[in-house]
Amino acid sequence: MFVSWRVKAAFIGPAVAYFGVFLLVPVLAALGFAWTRWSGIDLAQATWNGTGNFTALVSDAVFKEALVHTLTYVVVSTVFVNVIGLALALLINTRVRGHEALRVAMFVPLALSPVIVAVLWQYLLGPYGFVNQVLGSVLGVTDKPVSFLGDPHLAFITVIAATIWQFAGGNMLLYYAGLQSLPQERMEAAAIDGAGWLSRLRWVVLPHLRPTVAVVVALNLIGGWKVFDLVYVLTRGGPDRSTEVLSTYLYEQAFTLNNVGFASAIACVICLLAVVSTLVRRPIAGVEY
Amino acid sequence: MSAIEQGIGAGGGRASVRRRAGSRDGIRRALASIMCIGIGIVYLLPLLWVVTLSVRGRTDVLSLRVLPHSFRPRNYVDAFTQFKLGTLLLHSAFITAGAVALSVAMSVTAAYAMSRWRSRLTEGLFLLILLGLMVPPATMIVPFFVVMINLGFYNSLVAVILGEAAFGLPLGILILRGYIDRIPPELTDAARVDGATPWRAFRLVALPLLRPAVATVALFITLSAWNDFLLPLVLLPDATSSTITVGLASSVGTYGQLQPGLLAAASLMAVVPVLAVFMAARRYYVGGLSAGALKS
Amino acid sequence: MTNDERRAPTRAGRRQAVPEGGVRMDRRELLRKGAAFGVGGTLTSSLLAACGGGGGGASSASGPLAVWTQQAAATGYPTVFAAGGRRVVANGKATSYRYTTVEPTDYNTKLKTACIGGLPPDVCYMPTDGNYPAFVEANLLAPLGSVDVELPNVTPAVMETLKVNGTRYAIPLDLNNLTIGYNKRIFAKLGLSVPRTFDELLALNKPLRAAGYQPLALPVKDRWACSDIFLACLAYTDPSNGQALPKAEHGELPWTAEPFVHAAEMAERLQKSGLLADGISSLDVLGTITLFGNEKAAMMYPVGNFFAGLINQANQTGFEYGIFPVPPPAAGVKARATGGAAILWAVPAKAKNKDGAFDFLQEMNKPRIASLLLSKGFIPAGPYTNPPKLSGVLADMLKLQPDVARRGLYVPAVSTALDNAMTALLGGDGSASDVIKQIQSAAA
Repeated sequence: MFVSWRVKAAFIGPAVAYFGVFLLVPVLAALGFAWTRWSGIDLAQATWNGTGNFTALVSDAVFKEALVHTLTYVVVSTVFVNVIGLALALLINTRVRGHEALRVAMFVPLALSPVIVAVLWQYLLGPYGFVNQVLGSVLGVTDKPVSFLGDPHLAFITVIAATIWQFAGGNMLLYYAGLQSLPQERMEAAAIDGAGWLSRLRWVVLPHLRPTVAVVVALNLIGGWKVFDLVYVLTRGGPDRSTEVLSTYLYEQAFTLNNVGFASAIACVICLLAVVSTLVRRPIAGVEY
Repeated sequence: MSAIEQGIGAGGGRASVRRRAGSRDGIRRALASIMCIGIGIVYLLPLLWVVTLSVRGRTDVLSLRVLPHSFRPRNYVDAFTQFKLGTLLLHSAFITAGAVALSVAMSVTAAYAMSRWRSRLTEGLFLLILLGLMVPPATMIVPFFVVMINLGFYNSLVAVILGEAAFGLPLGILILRGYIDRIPPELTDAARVDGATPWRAFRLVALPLLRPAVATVALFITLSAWNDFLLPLVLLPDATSSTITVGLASSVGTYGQLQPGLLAAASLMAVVPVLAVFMAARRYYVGGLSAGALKS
Repeated sequence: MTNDERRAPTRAGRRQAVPEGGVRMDRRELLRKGAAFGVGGTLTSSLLAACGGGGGGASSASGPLAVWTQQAAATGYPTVFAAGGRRVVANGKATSYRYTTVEPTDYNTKLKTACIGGLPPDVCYMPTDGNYPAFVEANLLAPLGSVDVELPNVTPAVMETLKVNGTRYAIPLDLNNLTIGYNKRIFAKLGLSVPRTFDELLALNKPLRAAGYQPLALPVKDRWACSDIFLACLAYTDPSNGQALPKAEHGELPWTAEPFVHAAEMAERLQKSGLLADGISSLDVLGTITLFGNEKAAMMYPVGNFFAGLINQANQTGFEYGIFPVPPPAAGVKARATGGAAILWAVPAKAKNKDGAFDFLQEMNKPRIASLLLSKGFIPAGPYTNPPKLSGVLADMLKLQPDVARRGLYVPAVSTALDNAMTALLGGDGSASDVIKQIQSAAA
């Protein structure tokens, strides 16, 4: 079907123009400063540094640690958030009594701002927090408080758990929206052909959802690579860098150490990883319509 | 086909729910209901804890007692007046509404174009805009601020609206493009064949089918704009007339005061508007292809 | 339009022109129009905003006075600032006084972006970390040599830190010193007395733990407190009476020198003794003060004037608490606290109302403001007449003020490295030599 380029431009124009005005310069600047050495305060003091920041990155132990942490974080949280989100989306799609309640319940954590989340988890998981008091006095399971956020190994798991708790609801909503477009006829046809519940799930629902899964997973991955708020308020990257992720390290470099060039190099790495992540959309989505 | 099985993949609330009389179905439904409510409660336990925190007295809030020993619902009133929540909420709402309207309007048309009329150019533009989603905000905030200053936007809510819309744009396009990809081109082609302009085809055929998707995207951009911290922090100099995220953070900074009770109350009140948007957006989830468009 | 009409082909050959969602078209239309209105309205109002407010306009010597700090209303500080602001307005140097609080973790971000963007406040709080010299070097601060203030209560060591390249760019409002707070009730109950040496402090571990208390709570998660432990030890391990630190900052002394090594070793002994509370790596300020206020921890560090008021709030049972500085390694040596400026003022170079700013600084250091500060439990840097009858914690802090050793490192890279290394050390995951190694490589 022929569509003139003018029409196409009219559709895509506003977004591109808006991006060009407001976001293009910051994006280019954020990535461009990776090639400079700059303290971030006086623009006139920025000097060219070539690939110096990148070579420094490669030999930086903390960066490598942060990279490994972020990778683990991204993979584990994405898997869980998608499995839980999809399962719950299927559950609320049954429209049984109570599904509204679950929908609202899963949504509320998404609406919380980092400030209260920090206080929340501190109170719950601190050495004298709710969970420890229950474990200790009520259940009598432990005699020393479990240091959820203070023990290097536990802290990482805690951060991932907090992420899943807060963001599973988002995936659920996205999958639920995707499920709305599954035509009833297909399910009926499959039922007539004698397919059971599980088979219908596998052969009708999941293939239909593949493109949605592709977008959702890509979204999760992108968000995971640049995760900052939650980790920062929970542990600030500690204890002892055990929960240091790329963005917290970037923040320290940019705003505490005034090392904007190096921080921008980290930003480039995050960006690269995110771009690569969007490429998973095609294989997951399979054949498009 | 039981209602349960129908639910796993059957779309459209308006499609009739065929119920098969039989105890097995009833038990399954009951089980599913119990699961829903059970999971919901367990999931919300941390939040229920915050609620108990929000009604504690001043010293009780800093005690380590699991359950509250005082009941002070006045915390909510105090939080409202002390943190000027009325102003903060109004500002946040204004900014979020503006950002969502602006962002969704631009995203949906752009996503449609990028999905329907794919070319190397549109793919390139897509990736470029997506960069806005991928670059960590911390590195973009200073250049962004300089851009806004040079454009003359500072110390106004409009500046924050423009900023939030800019950051919501990539998110909207990414999600919407995914949903638009799944609308069969035959539908819009049929409209075009009959002489409709591309715009009419888009408006009359595609848009109605995208209701759930648009509602979802609007919800996500609402969340992103409502909870955003960096943008209002740098664009609005005065914290007491800023947005709720900045206002709360500055009022209860750790070196300022230890009033977790008021903070809990204020944070819960801050969730309410977003929750209201969510509830309002629910009905847009109904509809879509299930209406029988593929009866050909 | 009935359902059938909607389904009927409007043109030959087509079965479904408009799906059932068609009736909602109106709402879609509304959204379109609303968006268009929104965009149009946005653009118009932003145009108006750009003409009206915004960053333009010639700077007037007598405009408003904008003051930024990290202190929220409940600390009592803003009332004191407002008193100074009123004086400035009364003197005609400003049309109004505007005060803004910014949360500590975001303060630098906001200040930097404002300064770079050309819209800084007129007076700002300057955190006592490495950013101070960085700001000066980037020409972001105005020199304050011409501001006429008397600062009799500021020790020479602290005065020196305020000068960069011989010029003063910041002026303190009040002074602070950091000490260990201890629960008098618990100590009395267990028959313990205030430790006079470091070993005595470490020996408190056994009796306190035996009685079920956490000995010492410290906000390790907020890394700066760990550096303060190092500097508190350095006050004793530096035989040159505070010269080592400035020399090392200027590159005249290596960071591997004896005073620093001994300080790190002293801190390591602290950690190894078990005096630090369990799970200390996850304790932040809120957690530390909560533990102390709930009498779960018998001691906490640091207690300075910022935290004294917070402790009172957290005090569940009304127990009395006292303070003592980190004790010296040997008996007979005078106990010293670390400290420096609490509130430090600076004036951005691009401030719109410099006259008002300088007047504000002068007013803030006058005796009338000093009495206001004292009444709120702060130690003024400026002169004060008729010192009120002080008692308790504030009186103790005042007594420690003359011998205060410096806190704060002014090289950002080294300061951050020290923060991180000391956090690891106190968390049980590093050694004294690691600390020295890290700060040395950061300085390189």
